[in-house]
Amino acid sequence: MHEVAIAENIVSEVARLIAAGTVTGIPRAVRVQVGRLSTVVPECLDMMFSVVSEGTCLEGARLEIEVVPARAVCQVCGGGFDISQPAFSCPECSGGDIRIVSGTELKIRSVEVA
Amino acid sequence: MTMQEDSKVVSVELNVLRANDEAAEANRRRFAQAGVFVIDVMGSPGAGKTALLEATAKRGGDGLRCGAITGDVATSLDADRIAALGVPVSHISTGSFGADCHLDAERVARAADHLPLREMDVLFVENVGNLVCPTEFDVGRDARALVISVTEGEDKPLKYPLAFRSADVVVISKVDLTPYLRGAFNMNRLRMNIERVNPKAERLEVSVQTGQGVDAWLAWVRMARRRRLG
Repeated sequence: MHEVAIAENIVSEVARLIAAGTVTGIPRAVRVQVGRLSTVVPECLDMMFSVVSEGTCLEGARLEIEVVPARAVCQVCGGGFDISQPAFSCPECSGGDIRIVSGTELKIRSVEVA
Repeated sequence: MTMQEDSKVVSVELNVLRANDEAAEANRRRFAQAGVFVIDVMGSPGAGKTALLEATAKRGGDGLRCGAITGDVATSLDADRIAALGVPVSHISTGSFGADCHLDAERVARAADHLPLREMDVLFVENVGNLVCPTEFDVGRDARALVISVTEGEDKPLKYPLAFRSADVVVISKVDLTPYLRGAFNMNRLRMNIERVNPKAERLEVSVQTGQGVDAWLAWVRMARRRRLG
């Protein structure tokens, strides 16, 4: 959902870095991380990015999306596990006190420039 | 990442939602300074969010001075209902023809400019009716209440786990309708599904029609505020 807003945010964040001189050169690609637990659909984000980047500093740049798996650690028994279905409890001890350690990312990792 | 020979990679490591996160933190500081406890109220369209706020207002917030920010894609109907009960309300319209599906911190900050924050104890931010998008966006809340009505079905926590996990309290609404749902709805299963997806959330069962659970809701608001602001 709202992948347009996310794509627009990616463009505006990179534009801000260019204005600040942190990123110099012509952006060729942006690498982002999208966690499995974020409400963002990678294919949709990719599509929206090509649309919203037109006429901006990121026009023509590739969007490279790294999907991050959802993992959690049980605070009761310490076991780590993948979250693949909506039951947020430890598969080992059935404890409900878990800490999500990956999968909620929505991050710009880097910009490739020429 | 594939690279041309003459290109280089600049490390950025920024949250895409950095701007909203910073605005949310600024909101939190501002509201705390004014002594206002902020509750983000989310739920499906028709879950009973506005009705819960009306019930709160009718009880005079149990002594807590209330304010509200309402968000909707179109109309100011929710704001009108709450304003009619004497509660200061600021309304956000996210766009009449299918615009934003959630509220963001920036919009909430601007709406708060129209509210007498220093004369308020609790600010309810009623989000757009939606169980997906608001999950991602922090508006500067201290707590989140998710309203789910018995008519939505006991499987919803499993279908929208992230929304339910983001809640501090899950309010099961319209419980007076349970007898009319007969075999189509299993309250125990809804309780279990909420527990399964978010064992840490408080769970309340409310009917604004009969008044059941409204005391418990007000008590939760008071306790949550005290925990945060003292």
